[in-house]
Amino acid sequence: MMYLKLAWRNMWRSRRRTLITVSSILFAVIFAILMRVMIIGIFDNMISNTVSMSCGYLQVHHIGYWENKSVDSTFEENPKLAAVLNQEKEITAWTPHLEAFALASSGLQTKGILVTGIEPERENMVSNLSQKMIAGKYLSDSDNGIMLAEGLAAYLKLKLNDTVVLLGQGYHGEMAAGKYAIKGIVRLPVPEMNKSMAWLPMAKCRDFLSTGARYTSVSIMVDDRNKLAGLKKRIVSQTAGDNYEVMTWQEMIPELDQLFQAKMAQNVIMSGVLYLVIAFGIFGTILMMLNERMHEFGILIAIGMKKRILSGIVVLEMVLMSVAGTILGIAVAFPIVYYFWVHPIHMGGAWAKESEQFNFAPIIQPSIAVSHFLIQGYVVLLIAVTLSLYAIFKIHRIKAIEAINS
Amino acid sequence: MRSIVVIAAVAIGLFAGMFMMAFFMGFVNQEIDAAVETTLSHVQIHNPAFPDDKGVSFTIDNGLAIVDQLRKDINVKAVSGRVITSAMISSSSTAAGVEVHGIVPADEKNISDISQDMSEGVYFTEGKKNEIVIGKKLAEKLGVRLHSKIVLTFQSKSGDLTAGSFRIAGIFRSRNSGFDESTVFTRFDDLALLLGTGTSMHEIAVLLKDGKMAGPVANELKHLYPTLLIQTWQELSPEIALITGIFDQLMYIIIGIILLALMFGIINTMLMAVLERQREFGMLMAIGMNKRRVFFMVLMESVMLTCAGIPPGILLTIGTVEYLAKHGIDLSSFSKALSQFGFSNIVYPQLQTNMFLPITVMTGITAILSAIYPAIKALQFKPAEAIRKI
Repeated sequence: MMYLKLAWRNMWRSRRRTLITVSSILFAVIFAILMRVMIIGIFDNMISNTVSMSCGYLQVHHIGYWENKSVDSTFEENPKLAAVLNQEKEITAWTPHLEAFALASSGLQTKGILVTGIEPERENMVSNLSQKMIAGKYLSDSDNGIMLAEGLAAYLKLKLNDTVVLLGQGYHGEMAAGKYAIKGIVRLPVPEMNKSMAWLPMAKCRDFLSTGARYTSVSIMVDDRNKLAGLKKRIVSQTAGDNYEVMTWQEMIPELDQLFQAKMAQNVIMSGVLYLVIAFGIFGTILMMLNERMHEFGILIAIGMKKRILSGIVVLEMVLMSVAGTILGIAVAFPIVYYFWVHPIHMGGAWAKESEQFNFAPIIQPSIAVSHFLIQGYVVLLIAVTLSLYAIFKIHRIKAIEAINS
Repeated sequence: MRSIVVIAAVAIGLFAGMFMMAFFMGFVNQEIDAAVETTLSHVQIHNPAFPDDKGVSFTIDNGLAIVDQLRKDINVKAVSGRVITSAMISSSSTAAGVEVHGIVPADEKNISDISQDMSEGVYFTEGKKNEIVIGKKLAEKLGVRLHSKIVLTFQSKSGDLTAGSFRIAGIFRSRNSGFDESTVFTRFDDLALLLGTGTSMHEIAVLLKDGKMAGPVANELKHLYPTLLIQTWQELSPEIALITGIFDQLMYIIIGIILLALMFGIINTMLMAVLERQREFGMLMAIGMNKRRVFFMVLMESVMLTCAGIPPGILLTIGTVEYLAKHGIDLSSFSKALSQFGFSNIVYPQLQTNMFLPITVMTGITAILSAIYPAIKALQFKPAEAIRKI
């Protein structure tokens, strides 16, 4: 206890010195946190943007559907599933799809396309489809018309209010044929998708494919993508026996997952470099502090204090300051990060131009997951404490007379 | 001692900035190369009607002549002319829709590294007819193995439905399992014979010696062949351009944060140093050194320490990057999840010598700015008190 008292008093003996040391750790923690949450925020955004337009974070479909996407691999509309999904707090939005391959014809041209039956309101919450319209009006549940992708409409030489004929194979081999007026045109950023997609209101699509009340898939968007595994388990267990398959985006688009794993690995190196710079900053401060107190240490040793105890007290001081610096750093970083979470930073330049083509907002929105704050704080604390062990080495080497005269 | 710490801090800061840059460059280029070298190539030429419809008759006029001309172009590393059609591939159990690429193996090998991604079998053997190379994912889907027979059905130039039987000579596995599932390769001649297209081709892919020349080369080709559709890899796959564009700007932000961290580190160290020398400053001021001179003295010390730190920083960077450029940084050792994909993710940092100057300047300015606060603090010493400080 005496050591603690000594350490404490030593710290406050020179307020300025303590303040400088604590602040060097404080800033180190803030920077480490800022860099980490920013990068993670960008990753989260990218994944979110990509999956919202394609498969969703999670998808529920009939077993075997993903491998073999045929109209026959559908599942019945199920109020139990809807209830399960609505109950889960993690889920921010979900939307059903009825998708099939069909031939679209305008009389002049014919093309193979993917037609998707959607529930317009729900769809919009997941993929923001209405924001991507460039002409016409967004579909409503009771509409009779169809929405085409821009490239497809151009290829078929069709405009708003023109009629397009769809031909395909429906459920259990039934012939699927239908005529629809074009109510809206949508622009998708990926050229392949822009040339081959069309959307019908769910009711009309079901008529077309003669499926009755069935879906091919339900796409789910979540709040925190790190909780997917648990969510998946819960959905699976609550719908056991319904022949569903629940897949995560990593299972559905492994290429995307690989890309992000590569970026995360890259992040390790970037963080490493930052830690290196931080370590130097902290070390400089520690070194200077020891230098300044050489005279004091010399006298203490000369009057009989054991080096072991002295270095113990000094390390204790540094640990206390490190802990204080870390806690304060986290406390200061949080409001800053929170502010940018609510008001994301808007980027300009090439980033903005490219992103807007994709309808992605060119923003940096940091992640506010508490784990980042804690982990970064812990790492910096570890660095600081390890560096402070240098004090033991330095004190051990003191020759009392030289020290007193410094 | 304190001088060494500041010099080291500057050197490390410089190293950090430049290494990041090199690492980023290496990484971004690796990303681009991965896509370009498997499927995209740098520039692709098509008949303008082809991308929408992939109709058999939409061939490139004078394809062979263009390929020959391109081979002679100094910017071009490799050219490959392909005949392409959509087809149904069927095995004894199922069928699937695929895109068939009829290629000249000798040319294609130079332009796409699919030939190196063979997981089973051989890419193509001279002299054998009707060989086909398919992706692993597709092989699984069709339930076939090496040397199995499959049938390709498609529409020929005359409008008739034609079919051909092919034997699986090899199975490939690329980074993109979607590609594996939807693309198959046969010999140009074998496919052209069935399609009835003769020597005409649907796609000419060009690989350049320097990827950055994609834009200029494409423009040049547009002048030479105004009737054809000429696209760069960025136009063919805007998603990749998006990601690389984002990371370009991100890099500057990251470097900014690193420099900020450096700045605080130096401020703290310099501050301590100034405090340590309180007695010295007090003495100087007492014997008549005016405040302006003290300020400049501290600043000048900072400048000199910074200058001393720059060469070691540069040397450290060059040394590290040279070493890593040969051996690469294996990213999969940093990420278990990454290594399970089975593809080596080795990044080779690349030095950008044109970045040396800006980063050095930025680091220098950072270091000098960091000295201002401690210098101001030095001015606040009262000589009478300072002399007495122990």
